[in-house]
Amino acid sequence: MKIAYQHLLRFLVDNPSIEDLSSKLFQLGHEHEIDNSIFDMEFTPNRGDCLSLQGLTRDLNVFYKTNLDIPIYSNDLPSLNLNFVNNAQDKCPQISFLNIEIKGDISEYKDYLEDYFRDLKINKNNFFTDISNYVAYELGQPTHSYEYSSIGNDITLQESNNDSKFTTVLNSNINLKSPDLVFTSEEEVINLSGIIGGIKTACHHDTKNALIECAYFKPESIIGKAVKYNLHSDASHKFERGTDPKCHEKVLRRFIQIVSEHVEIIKLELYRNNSDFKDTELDFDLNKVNRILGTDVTQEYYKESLAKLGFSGDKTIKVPSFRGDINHQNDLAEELARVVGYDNLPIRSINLDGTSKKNLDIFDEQLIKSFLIDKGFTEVINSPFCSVHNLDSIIVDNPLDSNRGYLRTNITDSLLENLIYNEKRQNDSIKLFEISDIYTSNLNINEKRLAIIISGRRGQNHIDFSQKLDNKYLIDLFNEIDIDINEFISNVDRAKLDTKIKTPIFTIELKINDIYKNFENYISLNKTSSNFIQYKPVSEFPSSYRDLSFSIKDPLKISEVITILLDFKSDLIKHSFMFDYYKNIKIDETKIGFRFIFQSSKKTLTDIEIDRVVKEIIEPVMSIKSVSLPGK
Amino acid sequence: MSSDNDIILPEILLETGALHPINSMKDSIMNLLRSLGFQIIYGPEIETEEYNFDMLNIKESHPARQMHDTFYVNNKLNVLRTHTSPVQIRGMLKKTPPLAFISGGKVYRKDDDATHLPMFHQVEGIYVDEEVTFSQLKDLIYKIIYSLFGEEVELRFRPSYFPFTEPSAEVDILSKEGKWLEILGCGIVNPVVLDNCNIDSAKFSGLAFGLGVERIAMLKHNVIDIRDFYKSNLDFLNQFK
Repeated sequence: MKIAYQHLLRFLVDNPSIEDLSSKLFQLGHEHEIDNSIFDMEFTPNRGDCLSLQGLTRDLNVFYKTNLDIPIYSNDLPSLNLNFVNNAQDKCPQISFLNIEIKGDISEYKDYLEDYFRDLKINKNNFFTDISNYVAYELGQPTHSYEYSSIGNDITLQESNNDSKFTTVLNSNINLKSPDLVFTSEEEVINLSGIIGGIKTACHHDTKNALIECAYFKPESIIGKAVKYNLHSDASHKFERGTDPKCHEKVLRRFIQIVSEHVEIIKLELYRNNSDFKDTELDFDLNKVNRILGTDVTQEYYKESLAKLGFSGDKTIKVPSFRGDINHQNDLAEELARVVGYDNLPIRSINLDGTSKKNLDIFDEQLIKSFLIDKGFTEVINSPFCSVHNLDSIIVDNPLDSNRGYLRTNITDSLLENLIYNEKRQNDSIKLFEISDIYTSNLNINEKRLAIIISGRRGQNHIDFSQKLDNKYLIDLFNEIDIDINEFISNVDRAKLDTKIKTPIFTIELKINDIYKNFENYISLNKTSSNFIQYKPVSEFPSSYRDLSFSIKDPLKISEVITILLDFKSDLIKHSFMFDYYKNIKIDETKIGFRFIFQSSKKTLTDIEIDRVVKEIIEPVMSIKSVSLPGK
Repeated sequence: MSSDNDIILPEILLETGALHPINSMKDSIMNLLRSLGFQIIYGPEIETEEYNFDMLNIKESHPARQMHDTFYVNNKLNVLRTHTSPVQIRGMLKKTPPLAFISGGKVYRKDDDATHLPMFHQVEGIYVDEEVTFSQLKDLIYKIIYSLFGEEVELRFRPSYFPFTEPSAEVDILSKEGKWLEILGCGIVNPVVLDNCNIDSAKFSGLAFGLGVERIAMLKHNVIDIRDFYKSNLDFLNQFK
């Protein structure tokens, strides 16, 4: 909700600066952003009472001297003879109707009214609707203005018992579904749940005789209506969060006052349909409140704090009618905490030694993960939503889209997608795993599984580079921890995958329950990973590689060559490793092969750019005696 | 036979893989909490509305229960849990105070954009005992935040609203750029929730907190787009070794 700083200042005698006001609003729990002295407020949903100048001022009274004496019409109001039937008293226990008839031309809007539209960039509509909008901004209570001549003398509030059509004041047609709360007149719907009126009964520029409806709806009877019909309005926002059930007389008298400041009023009549409103009363229990917060607040300070927020009473605390969110001592503790300031509340050391530590006998999969990471596997996490419907798939009733209509019944399919994605990004050695709960309609409870996928080169060192990841690799891997997985391995058929790469793919998917015991004694090699990795964005440009081979005659120079090559750094090199190491005993010469993978974060690299770097790599190596490039 | 001037074959460099940065962050938060005395508990991702909402004082009329915020499954008999809080409910129904639980894992909301995903991760904790106070909650939160971001970090508590805690607070930290960033939500357990779990709220009180793992990981690793965590791109994941 947008609230202008200068409008708020009318009620704050102390004239605080924007900065001071902003920090006090944060202390009170009212998040906001400020744009050109307009506060864009984001109130928590329990604080519907703050959605107005008056409401926010009531809260700011904790810190500032305030003045909420707004001029209101004070003469007696004769009764309006209206045939109103309230068939939804439980949902709308308080409602009033004001008939107001005016004569003559409307003068220019007074400053406060004009400022409201200008400062908040709100479009004007017609006289009565404009005042209605302004009063909601000032006092927080929505009102609805009808052109009185367009409705009969009978109005009924009821749950619609059959589906009906309704054209809103914004000229959109909606099909109402039973049991929506509606106002009807002469059996036609004239208003939906107080949140939007009909086009036929709306006020217009020439309206001289208006009926102003002012109601309190229980929030639960309104919630969902705006979303259901896509009719988000200021009124629906306020009703959903709760308005003040006891404010109607003041609101309508303020309405009359504003009208009277602009035009001559020739008729005023008021109809009231109000059930008794019972104020909430809570014990004055400072001891309890101090125990909730861990504070030692004095009785005097507590009383004073509550009084500033509109609470009254001594032995029992009377909750103001606009604070429907206050129901127990914890709520009062929060009020006190806001006044003290959460940051000023004391800190007392917490000690959980007395709590039960008995484990609930559930295995932690950490050791399985450590084992796989030590072996060069990378963990992935995939979304459970998929488009594949199996017999035992759980169906999502309200999916984001048709591609995500089911919950996956296995992990392997997700890993296959991950593999293809990485192959397309020129990864030629892929070892992935995922541990996840799997939910199917056949399982009464979830089943935790481990799935693995492998394809491509075994690794990047000179032993593994030329070997492929295969069936045997997986069998040997699990043999290390005494698990025989032979029968669980599947070889994925590349033909069905539509990929250019032809290296075989192997997968396994196992129940964690069947394997976890074998990992219990595994001791991880893995150092605990650093918590302060600053990630570099992944380049979207293709990479290219160059393989460089060197022949070295003098064995004492081998480690020097390797060190130079390993230490070579360039912004254009993503990664480098030694993939070949071969000692030719016959001619007493050692050959080493290095792969350099080039990638730029800014562009696709040209051969010329790559060759320039290659030259920089080669030069220092070639300056070492006994080193040559084969074939040159 | 090796001669004197033979050099030893170069060491074979075995590349290690990497734990997913989100699981790694989740584990480090859970380990910290475990060292403070919390016990880990687990619960299902497919939940009943009763445990996911009702028991937590999230009334039927609450906006979160609408179809546009929550995934429903099994002909609306169940929901994909929207937070890890139902795990705490299950824990409290099984055990009597004093108790201190944490749970972490996947949660689901019907969102999908650069800052919100339909699946993300939370870690939550609850401590119930006689005389649990907001001042102890502050101590705990300071410990968590200091351990995650270092003791130099500036933080603030802000009043907030959650149906299951009262008073409720959100905690922000001050970024290097001078912006306040929301890190976690916490509060004193609403007595209604304790009573729902057959814990006498006149005798016991509790504190609870919850944080989004992705948010913390994004801040710590400087990741801008939350979706990067779930592309399964090896160039991304292998940076977190």
